[in-house]
Amino acid sequence: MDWINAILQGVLVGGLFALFAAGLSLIFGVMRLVNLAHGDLIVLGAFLALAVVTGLGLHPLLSLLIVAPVMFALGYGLQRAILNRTLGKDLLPPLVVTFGLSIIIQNALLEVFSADTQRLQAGPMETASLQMGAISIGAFPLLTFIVAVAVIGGMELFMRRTALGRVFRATSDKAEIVPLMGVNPKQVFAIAMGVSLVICAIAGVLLGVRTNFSPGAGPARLLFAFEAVIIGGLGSLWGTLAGGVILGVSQAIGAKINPGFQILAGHIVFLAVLVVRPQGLFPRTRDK
Amino acid sequence: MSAAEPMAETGARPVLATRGLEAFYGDFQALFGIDFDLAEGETVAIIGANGAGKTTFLRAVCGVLATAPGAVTLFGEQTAGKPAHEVVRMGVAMTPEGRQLFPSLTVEENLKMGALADPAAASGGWVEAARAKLGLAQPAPAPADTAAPRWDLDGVYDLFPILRERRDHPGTALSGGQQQMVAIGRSLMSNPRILLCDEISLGLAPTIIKDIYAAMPEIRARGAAIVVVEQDIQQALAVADRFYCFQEGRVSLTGRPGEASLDDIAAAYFGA
Repeated sequence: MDWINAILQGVLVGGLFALFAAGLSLIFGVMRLVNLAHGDLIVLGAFLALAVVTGLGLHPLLSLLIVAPVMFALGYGLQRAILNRTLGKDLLPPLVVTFGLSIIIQNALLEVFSADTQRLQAGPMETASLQMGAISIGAFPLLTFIVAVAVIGGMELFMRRTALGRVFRATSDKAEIVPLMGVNPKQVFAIAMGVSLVICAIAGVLLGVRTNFSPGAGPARLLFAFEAVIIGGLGSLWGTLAGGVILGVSQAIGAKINPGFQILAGHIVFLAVLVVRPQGLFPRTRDK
Repeated sequence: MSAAEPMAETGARPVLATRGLEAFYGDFQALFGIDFDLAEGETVAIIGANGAGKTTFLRAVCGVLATAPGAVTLFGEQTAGKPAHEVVRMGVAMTPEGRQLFPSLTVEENLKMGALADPAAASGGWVEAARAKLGLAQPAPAPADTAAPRWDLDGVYDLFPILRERRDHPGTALSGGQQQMVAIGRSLMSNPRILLCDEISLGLAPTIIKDIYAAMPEIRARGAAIVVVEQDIQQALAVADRFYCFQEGRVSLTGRPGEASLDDIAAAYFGA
C-alpha cells in the first residue's frame, strides 16, 4: 500500500512537471526555439506572485489574476524586442541569448528578493487531504494535477478549434509559408511566448505553494521540463502530460527505494527513453 | 515609361509593374533588370528553363525577397520595404512551387489559412481576421467595385468538388493533383486581385494538369489577373494573353502567343 501511495504522489507531481514542460514544448513547436530561461521564468512567476501576495494580501491562486497578464505582456515584449532577432537558420543565437536571459533573471531576483528561500502561503488547502482507505491524497497535489490536465486540455482545444491555434500549427509546420497567408510570423511568435509565460505563471504559483523556492531554483525546473518533453515526444501536449507523469512516478519510486535516488531515478528513466525511443513516446512535431 | 502611365498595349493601368527589377540571393544575382506589366484581369505566362529566375521573380513581387525602391509597383503603390505578409494583404496571392500545404492542417483548415490574407477581412491585420473567423468581430464589407462573386469555402469546393469530399483529410494525405487544388484554393480564399501560380503542373499527370487548368477561366471571370510560371511552354501559352520568356535572369522575349514563332520561343528559351 505504501508503494501505491508513492506512485500516486508521483502521478500528481507529474502534473506539475507537465506544466513546466507545456510552455517549453509550445515554444519549441511554434518557433523551434529552445528557451533555456524557461525554468527561471517559472521562478519569476512565483516571485511575482509572492510580491502580489505580500503587497495586496491576495490568496496565491487569486494572485494569478494579476501575474498571468503581466507575464503575458512580458513574454510578448521579450519576443518582439529580443528573441525574434535571434531566430534564423542558426540554432545557436537563441540558445546563447536565452542562456544569458536565465542568468539575468536569476541575478535580478537575487537583487530584489535576496537569496532567502520563499514560500507562497495558501492556508488550509496546503495540508488538507482526501482519505480513501489506506491511501491519502493531498488536496493541493490533486488540485495541481487537475490544473495541469485542464491547462493541457485547454491548450489542445485552443490549438484544434480556434483560428489562432490553426495559425500556431501552420507556423509550426512551415513558418516561411505563413507570410504568404498575410500573417506576420513574428507576431505569432510573440503571442506564443506570451501564452508560454502565462503557463509559466500558473506553474510558478503551484510550485511556490507546494515547495520552497529561491532565485536559483530555475535551472532544475528547466531540467524537469526538458525531461518531460523528451519522454513525451516533441509537439504532443498529451504526450507532455504523460512525460511529466512518467518522470514523477520514476522519481517517486526512486525515492521509495532510497531517498537519495529520487532525482537520479528520473534521469535514468529519461536516458532510457532517449536510448530506446529518441523521438519520445508520442511525438508529433514534424521536421522540415 | 513610368509605372503609373497607362500601358500602351491595352490602355489599362497595370495592377503589377516592375521596372529594372533586380534580385539577389546573398552575393548571387538572380534577376538583372526585369521590366514587366500585368493589366487588370489579364493572364500572363512566364516561361523559361530551370534557373531562369521565374520563381525568384514571383518571390520578389510578393515581397519574400527584398527589392529596390521603385522596382515593384502593385496597384500604383510601391512595395519596397514592405514585408511579404503586408504585400500579400494588398491583394496578391501566391501558389508556391511544391504546393507547400501545412501538413498538420486538414484540407479545410489549409483553405481557411488563405482567407487570413483577404484584404477585405484582414484590413486591420490578421488578428482581426482571426477574430472575425471566431465570430468575435464582423469582417469589413467587401469593396463595392467587386461585382463578381467572392471566393469562400463553398466557391472553392464548387470549383474543385473533390476537395469537399476530402475536407477533413490532412492536406498532405491527398494525391498530388488534389494537393495542387488545395494550394490554388488556399490562394483564392484571400480573393486576390493578382494570383501568382508557380509551376502548378510540375510532377502531375497530363489529365490532372488539364483538370487544374480548366479552373482558370472561372478564376479569371471572378476578376483576378493571373501570372502563370511554367516550364511547360504549350500549357502556358494556351491560357495566356501574353507571355514573357526569361533566360538567365533577363527577359529574352515577350509577346502574344499567336505572334511569336515556336523557333523564336525556342531560341529565347534555350538561348540558342
